[in-house]
Amino acid sequence: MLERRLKREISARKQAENLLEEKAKALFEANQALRALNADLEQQIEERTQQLSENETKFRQLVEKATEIIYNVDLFGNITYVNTVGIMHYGYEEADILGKPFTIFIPKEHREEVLQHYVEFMNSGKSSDYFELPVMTRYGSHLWFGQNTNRVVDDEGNVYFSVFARDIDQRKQAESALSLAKVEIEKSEIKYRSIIENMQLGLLEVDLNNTIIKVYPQFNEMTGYSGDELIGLNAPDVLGVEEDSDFHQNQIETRNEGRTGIYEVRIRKKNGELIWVLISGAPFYDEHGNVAGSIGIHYDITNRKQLEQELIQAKSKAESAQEAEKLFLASMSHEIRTPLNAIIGMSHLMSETKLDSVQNDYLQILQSSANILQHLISDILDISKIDSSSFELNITSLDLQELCLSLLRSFEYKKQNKTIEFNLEFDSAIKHHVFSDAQALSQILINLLSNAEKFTAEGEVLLKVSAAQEKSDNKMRLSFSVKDTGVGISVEKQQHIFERFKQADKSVSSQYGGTGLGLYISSQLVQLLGGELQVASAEGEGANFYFTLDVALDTTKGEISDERSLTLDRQEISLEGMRVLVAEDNTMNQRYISTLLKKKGICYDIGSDGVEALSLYEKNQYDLVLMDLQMPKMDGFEATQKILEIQKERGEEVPVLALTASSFLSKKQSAMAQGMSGFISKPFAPNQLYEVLRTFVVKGTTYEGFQTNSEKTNPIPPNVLKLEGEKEKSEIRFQNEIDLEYLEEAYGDDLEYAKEMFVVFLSIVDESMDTLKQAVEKEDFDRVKQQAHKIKPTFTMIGLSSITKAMSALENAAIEKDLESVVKTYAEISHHLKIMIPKVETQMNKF
Amino acid sequence: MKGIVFTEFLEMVEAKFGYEMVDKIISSSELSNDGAYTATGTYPHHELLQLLNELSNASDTEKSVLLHSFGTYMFVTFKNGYPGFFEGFEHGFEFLKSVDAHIHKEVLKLYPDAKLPSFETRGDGNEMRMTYRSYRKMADFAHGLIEASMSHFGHEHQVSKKVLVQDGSEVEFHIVIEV
Repeated sequence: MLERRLKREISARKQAENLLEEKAKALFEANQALRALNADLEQQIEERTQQLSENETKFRQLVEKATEIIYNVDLFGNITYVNTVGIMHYGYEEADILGKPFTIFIPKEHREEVLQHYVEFMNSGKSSDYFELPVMTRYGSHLWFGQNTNRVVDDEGNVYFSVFARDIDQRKQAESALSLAKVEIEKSEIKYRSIIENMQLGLLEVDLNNTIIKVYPQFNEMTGYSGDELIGLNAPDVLGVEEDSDFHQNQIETRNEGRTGIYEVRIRKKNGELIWVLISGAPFYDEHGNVAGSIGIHYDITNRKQLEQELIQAKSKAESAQEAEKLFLASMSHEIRTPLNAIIGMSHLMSETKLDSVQNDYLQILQSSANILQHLISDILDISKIDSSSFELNITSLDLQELCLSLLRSFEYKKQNKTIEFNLEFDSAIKHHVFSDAQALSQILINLLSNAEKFTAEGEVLLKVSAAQEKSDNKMRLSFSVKDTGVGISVEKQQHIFERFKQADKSVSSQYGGTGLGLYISSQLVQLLGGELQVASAEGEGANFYFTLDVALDTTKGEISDERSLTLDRQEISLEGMRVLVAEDNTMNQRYISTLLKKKGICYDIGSDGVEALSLYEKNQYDLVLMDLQMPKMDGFEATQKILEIQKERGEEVPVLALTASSFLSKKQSAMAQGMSGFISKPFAPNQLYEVLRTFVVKGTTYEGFQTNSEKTNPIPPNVLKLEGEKEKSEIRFQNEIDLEYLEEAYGDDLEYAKEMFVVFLSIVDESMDTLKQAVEKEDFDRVKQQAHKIKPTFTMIGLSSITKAMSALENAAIEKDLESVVKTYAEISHHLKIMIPKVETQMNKF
Repeated sequence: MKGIVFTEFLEMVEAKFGYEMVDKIISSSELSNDGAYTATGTYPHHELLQLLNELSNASDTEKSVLLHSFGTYMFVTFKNGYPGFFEGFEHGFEFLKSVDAHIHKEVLKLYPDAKLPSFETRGDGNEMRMTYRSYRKMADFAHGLIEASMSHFGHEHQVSKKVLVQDGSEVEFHIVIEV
C-alpha cells in the first residue's frame, strides 16, 4: 500500500512539475509580450510628450495673439489680468483696467442683471458659464461680449475666474435686426392671413405628386371635408372630375416647372356636388430653392358660372331673334314690294284710261297710299340696316356743291303745284371736294328736304352749307342746315321727332302722311358720319334742321370753279354735242341706246365687246362711257380698269357708268369699287338715261346716290331693287299682252324707231332662243346663265317684261345649277314666247 | 474539476479514516491515473463521485453527510490558503454575498476553465436566502462551506435546505442567525 501511495505521490508531483513548466512557459511568453508592449508604450509616451510640448507652444502663441479677450477676475470681482487684445480693443490703458471691478465697464442699465447672473453662477458651484453682456468702450459706446467664465483654483488653493470673451457685437446687431424683421414678418403674416381668411379663399397645398399636404379651414368649408380628412390624398383623385385629369396633370407639370397658372375648373365636394372654382396656383420652394409643391387659391365661382351660362344662352337667343327679325324684314319687304309694284303699275295704267272724277279721286288716293307704302318699306330696310350695325360707310371724294344742286333739282322737278322755292346757299370757302359718304349724305338731305317740302305750303326751303370752321389745311368743319317757312314744330314735340315711328303728333300722319321714320334714319346717319342732327323751330315759324360734320378735304382735285351753272332746272341742260362711248354686246340694246342718244344730238360710238370699246377709247375723246358689265372677249370691269389707266395717263376724268342687267346690289357695289362713277339698271326708260347723262354733263361729280334717289322718287321703278342674295322665287306670272304703257314711255310718238326695235327683235329672237335651248339641253349652266343674262333686257324693250323676269329666274336657276328649275323655266319661257311672237308681229305692223 | 478538490478530499479521508481507506476507495474506483492528483490539475468530475460513492459504501455513511463534512473541511483549506478573501468582512452574510460577486470572479482569472456553481443571495439583517445552482449537484458540499463560514464569523446560526429542482442542481439555503 505504501508503495502505491509513493507511486501516486510521485505521479502527482510529476503532474505538478509538468503543470509548473507549462505555466512557467506561459509566464515567459506573457513576459515577452509585456516587454514589447512596454517598449511600444514608451515610444507612444515620447511621441505624446513631444506633441504636448508642441501644443503648448502653439497654445501660448494663440493666447498671446488671440483675438479673444482674456482676463482674470478675483473672488471680489476685481480684474487681475487682461491680455493686450482686451486693452486695445476697448481703447483703455492697462492701468485703467487692472485692479478695477469688472462691473464698472458694464453700462449702468445692464449692471444689475449681469451682477445677478454672476452671483447665481458663483452660488451654483458650476465650474464654467457662458453669458452675453454689453461692455463700455473708453469712448462711451457699447460693444457686446459673449464670454466663457471658468472657475479656477490655483496651486495655493485660491479661487479666481478666468474669462474668455469674444466681441459678438455684429452678431448682436444682426440678431436685433432679425428679430425686428421677424416681428414685421409676423405682423404681415397675421395681416395677410386675416385677409385671406376674410376673402373666402380656400387654400390648399400639395406636393410634387399632387398629394395634399395642407388644407386651410376655408377650403374645408368650401368642399365640406373636415379637419385633416384630405391630408395625404391625391388632390385630383379626391376633388377633381375624371374628364379633367389630363388637365390636372398638365397643371402640376407646369407648377413643377416653377410656373404659375390661373384656371377655372370643377371640383367635387364631399357630398358629391360639383362646384366651379377659379384656381390661382403657384409653386412654393424648399430652402434649397427647388420646387417643393404648389399652393392653390380656390375661389368659388359656381354662381358666376351659372350666370355666365345663362347669359350665353340669353345672348344666343337674342341674337337668333335679331337674325330672325332681319330675315323677316328682308323677306317681308321683298314680298310686299312685288305686289306693291303691281299695284303702282296698274294704278298708273288705270290713270291712262278714261275715268270719271270720282274714280280719278279714288285712284289718286290709291296711288299716294302705294307710294307711302313704298317709302315705308325703303325706310324699314334702312332702319334694319342701321339697327343691326351692318350699315357701312363708303367714304369717297365728292363735289358737295354739285350734290346739293342735283338734290334740289330733283325737288324742284317734282314739286307739285306748290309755290315753294328751293334755294341753295353754298359757302364759297368750300373750294375742294370733300371726303364723305355721298349716299348717306344724300339720304339725310333728301329726308330733310322732303320734310321741309311736306310741311311747307308756300315760301322757301333753303339748303345752306357753310364752312363753320377751317380746322387745318386738310380738314374742315361743315355746317348743314335745311330751313323752311312751314308750320314749324312746338318745343315739347321736338324731343320726340327723332324717335322711331314718332311724328310731332298723330294728326301729322293723317294730314301730311309719312311714316315717322325719315328723321330717325337721318339722325342715325348723321351720327354715323360723326355729327348730331338738331332742330330749331317754333310752332308756326318754320323749322331749321341742322348738323355739323368734320370732313377731310380732297386737295388732289383742283379747286371748284365758281363759274359753273348753279341753275336748278335740269330740263335746261342740253345734252347736245356730248360725246359718249357705248360698250354693249346686245344688238337690241345697241339699237335702243343709239336711238335714244341720237334723239338728243349726242355723238356716240358703239363697241360690241370690251376689246372694241377699249380700242375706240384709245383713239377718241369722250365725255362719258356707258359700259355693259357682261361682254364677250373682255368684260366691263376689265375694260373699265384699262380705260381708267388711259385716263390717268391723259390726266382726264371721264365718268364710266355701268350698264347692268343684274339687279343685285353687290354687282353695283363692285362696279363702284372698280372706279365706275355710277350705274344704270337695264332695262331703263329713256328719261332715266337722260337724267343720268345730265347729272354728268357738269364734270367732276362722282355722284353715286343717284340710283337710290331715282328709285325712291320714280313712280314706276324700271325694275325691283333686290337685296343681295335674294332670288327670284315667286312664281313667274306671264302677261299675255304686250306692255303698251312701257312702249309709250320708251318710244313716245317715235313709231318708226319702235318699229325698228321690233324688227330687230324678231330677227334675233330665234337665234338667241336656239342658243339658249342648246345650252339648256347640254346642261351647260354657265352658257345658260350668260345667254339668259344677255338677252333678258331685249324682251322688256318690246313690252315683254314678264319674259325678262322669267329670264332672270332662269339665270338664277343656272347660277344655282338647279337643272330641274332651268329646264322648267326654259320650257315656260319658250311656250310663252310662242304665244307672244304673233302678238309682237301684229304690234309691229301697227306702227 | 480542479485537482484541489480531489487532493483535499483524499486528505480529509486520510485524516478521518486513515490512508487504508484512501487506498481502498482509489483501488475500487476506475480512475484515469490511479488516484494520483495534483492541486492545480484538472480531472473528470465523475471520478470524485466514484470516490465519494466508494467512501460512502466503505464507511457506511450517507454521501450527503460526507459532502457536508468535506465542505466544512474545505473551508479551513480555503481560509488558510487564501486569507485575503476573508479579510474586511464583519458579517458572515457580507462574505457569503461576496462568493459569487467577488471570489468566483478571482478564481476564474486564475483558472479560466473552472466550472463554478452560481450563488444568488437575497435578504438582509439576520436572515438570508442563498440559491445554489450547479450541474455538479454538490449542494451539500456548499452547505458545509456555508455553515463553516457562519461559524468563522462567530454567528450562532441555523441553515435549512430546500431542493428547488429534484435532481439537486438547484437548491435554496435559508440561513438564520440566532441573536
